[in-house]
Amino acid sequence: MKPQPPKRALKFFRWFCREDYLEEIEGDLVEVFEKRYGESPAKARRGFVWSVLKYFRPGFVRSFYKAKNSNINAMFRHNFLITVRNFKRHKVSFFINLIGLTAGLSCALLIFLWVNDEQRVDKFYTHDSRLYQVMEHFQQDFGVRTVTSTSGPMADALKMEVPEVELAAVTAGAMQEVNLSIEGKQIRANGLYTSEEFFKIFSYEFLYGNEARLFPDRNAIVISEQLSIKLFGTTTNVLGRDIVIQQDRKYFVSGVFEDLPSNASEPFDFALPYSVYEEQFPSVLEWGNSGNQVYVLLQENADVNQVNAKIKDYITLKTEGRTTFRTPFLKRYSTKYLYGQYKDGKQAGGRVIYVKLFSTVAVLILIIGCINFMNLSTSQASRRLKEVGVKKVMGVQRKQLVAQYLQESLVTVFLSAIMSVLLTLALLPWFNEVTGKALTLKFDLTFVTQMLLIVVATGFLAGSYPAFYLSGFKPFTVLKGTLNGSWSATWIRKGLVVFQFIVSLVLIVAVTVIDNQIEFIQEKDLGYNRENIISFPREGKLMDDSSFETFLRELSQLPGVTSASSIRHDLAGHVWGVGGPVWKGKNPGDETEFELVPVHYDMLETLGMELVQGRSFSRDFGSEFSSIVFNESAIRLMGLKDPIGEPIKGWGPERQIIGVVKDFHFESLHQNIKPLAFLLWSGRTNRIMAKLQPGSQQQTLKAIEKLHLEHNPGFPIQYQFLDQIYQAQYVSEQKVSTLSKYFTGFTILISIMGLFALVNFTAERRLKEMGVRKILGLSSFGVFRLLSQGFSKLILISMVIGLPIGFFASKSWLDNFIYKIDMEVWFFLSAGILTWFVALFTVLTQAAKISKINPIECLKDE
Amino acid sequence: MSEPSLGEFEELVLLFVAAHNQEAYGVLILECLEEKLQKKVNISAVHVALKRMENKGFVESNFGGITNERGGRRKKYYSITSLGKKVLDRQYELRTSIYNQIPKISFGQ
Repeated sequence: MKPQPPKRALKFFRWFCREDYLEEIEGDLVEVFEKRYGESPAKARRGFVWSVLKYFRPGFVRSFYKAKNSNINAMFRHNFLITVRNFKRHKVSFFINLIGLTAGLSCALLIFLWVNDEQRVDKFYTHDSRLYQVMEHFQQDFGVRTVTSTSGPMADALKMEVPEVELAAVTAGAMQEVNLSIEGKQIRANGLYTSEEFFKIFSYEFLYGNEARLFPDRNAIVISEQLSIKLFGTTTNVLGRDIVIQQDRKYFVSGVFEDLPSNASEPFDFALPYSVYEEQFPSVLEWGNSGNQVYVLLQENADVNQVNAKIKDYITLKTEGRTTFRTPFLKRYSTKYLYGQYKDGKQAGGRVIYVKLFSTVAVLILIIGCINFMNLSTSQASRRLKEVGVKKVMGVQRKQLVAQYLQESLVTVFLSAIMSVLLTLALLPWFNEVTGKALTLKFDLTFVTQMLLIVVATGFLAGSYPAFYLSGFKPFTVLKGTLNGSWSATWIRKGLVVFQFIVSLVLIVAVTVIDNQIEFIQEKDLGYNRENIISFPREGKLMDDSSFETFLRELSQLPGVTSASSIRHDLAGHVWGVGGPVWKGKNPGDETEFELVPVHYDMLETLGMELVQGRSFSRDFGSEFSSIVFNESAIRLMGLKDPIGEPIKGWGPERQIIGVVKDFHFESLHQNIKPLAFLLWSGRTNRIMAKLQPGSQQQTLKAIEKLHLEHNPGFPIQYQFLDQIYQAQYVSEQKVSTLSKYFTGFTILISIMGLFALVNFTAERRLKEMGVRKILGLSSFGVFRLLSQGFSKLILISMVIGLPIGFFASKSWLDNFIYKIDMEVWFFLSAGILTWFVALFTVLTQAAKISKINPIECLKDE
Repeated sequence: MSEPSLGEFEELVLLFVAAHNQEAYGVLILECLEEKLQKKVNISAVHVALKRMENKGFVESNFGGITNERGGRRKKYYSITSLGKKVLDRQYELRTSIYNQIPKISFGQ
């Protein structure tokens, strides 16, 4: 073997030496080296290196600036031309790409808008980072209940005694749909009682009014800009004007504040002085009671953990040991919206689950759109083989081809981005209706840059694989036409199709489960009858007991009304928890709260509650004010074997248990049934309920409206049906259900289009084969069978992987509910069969097309 | 424009190219130089001179055929152009005419 000159020096020489000198000089160098090698190999090597170095001089070094001389614009123009021609020639795949990517981008864009808005909720307050709400953990028998309310005196105490607290404010008595009237006009609005600090903490801007003294006396009211316009038609000169609330008490306007942005989670229309509330309900002055919201502005640099440690035993301390089960803590106000759910005293999910869920779905849909693009570009490689071959022979480098294909995908993605923005604009009103938001597309710099980023990322994602795949062909195999799809390429293509179907399957299963669970919730027998019952507030003159009795009597005698009574609330959630009843054999350490529901006579009957033992409240038994009715959970908790007649102390006068009502759901089905007690206490009932006879409800409702106005002038009735109130508890689940249905539809659509294109392509490639087979007597069904073979296998694989994922994903969602449906086999079967059917149908359309072709057509050109 | 000049080393190289017309290539010239001058010359110096003279138009070159030597790399053979010959002649004339003017000097031995 001949001696080899030093490799590195040679490599270096080849790198820098100009091309026209290279061969000659290299030859000479090697010749000299070989001759000297005989004398001394080491010297020869040194000499070689030294000579190479000496060539590194002007005149011998090549120019490194070649690339700059080529015309980049011309190249891009050329690539663009090729792209456009390619689109024109293969319209079907172009449109499938375009539609797939447009759908994917639009979904992603809508979800992006929604997620963005969800994350901004309550984040707009100036002092956001220092804004906290006092929440409490209740240590109960059945676990820890976490509430957003605390005791009224908490605000003042925190401000006085905790140095880290800069400001604190208390609110109370959320007033829903109360009657506001001025001369000749009345409307309904939502309000609350609060103090002046509240507006400082939340940095409200005031259009009018003295911010330092918003409530000069107890008759002042502060209203929102919107309310002012609704009431007075203007915001100017409204200071000092009178507003009558609930046709009862007159207030004068002392301030008008600017409306909050639409992503405030707890907006209100007006505020009344907290002192008015204290006057009406002196019980809020006691530490033992809970039910107020307290907001806190911490000092800058204050450590919230330190504050939490300080206030941990606050309630125990302030009640002098009488209430020990409540642990107050601070929660950053702006995190309450997304991270508001607690389980056993620990933060557990909340709306953020849906934010995460939909973000994932958005990315998945976008990926599926990209996969279509990849699949089509690579599977149609054979159409462009000659192009690649000729270009390579002409000296096009691989990276230039890569750039060309990337440019092509970028052009497609850019077109789809424009279309998706248009589509999103068209869909936004509908989307806002479904989600209950006020989303808009703002074409500002951030949006445009974000959009461009998405376009570039998507373009690279979709274009990278095809670009490297296509540009990697060897020119001579390509031009000889012997290239068959390599094993890895077909494998990747199939893998991508499988991935698409896995995603579709998971989504179908999830949607089926969500849909069934929601239906289950709405149809569930709650333990009482909520059909044909209307509920409306007891307000105005009806607050007066004697006129209320008359009204109820007349109401229940109206034709079409079966019965009527009143109750504390609509049984749609926890409202009034009271601890402290004493029964025989009670463990003194037990501090479990009971849901206390004051009712009037006939209420249990109106709701169709079933009594397990004893009887309900009845006028036939004289005074029932010392009677009490529990639910089964309460009796179980108290451990009473024979509860009827047992005395209950601790809640006012001593009471006797007269009945036990069968357990019913009064909170959402996320929760277990808690202990509950009914008291006959009409003074504390807030809602009037009437059961209507089915049939002539319109007339009956008109009659009730008239009766209500007679007894309660100035208060047009505002009734709701009980089953609607019940359904409103599951609004967020319903939104998720609707949204997920649409997005699943999109996903399936995109996947099917991908499959369609792939089948279309396979059919085209096998056209000659099919022609020959048809001449030899292949039936239409045979064509179908041949085409569908490969795809059925793919779908089967997707099912094996996708269905278990779907199972676990939906199971974790269902675990949020205590009362839930069982996973049934048909959920999965139907998802599988649906996918299979749709896929086969896609194949069928192609098979039908082929079986119609005259075999001569596909065989003549050879 | 004045005529391009010819350096001393270039002249030597040009002389060898002329001497081995059509057959002179880098290594051959190098070996002749080393033999006549009795000292080491780097091959790069030869190439620098050759390329410079080629630019000036004193020599021209063409590739030889592929052989099994030098790993199949072709040799580049140089030959002198008429301009090169003219320059060489003038240089030689100049030198001899001046040399002839030298009187017979005796250094006294």
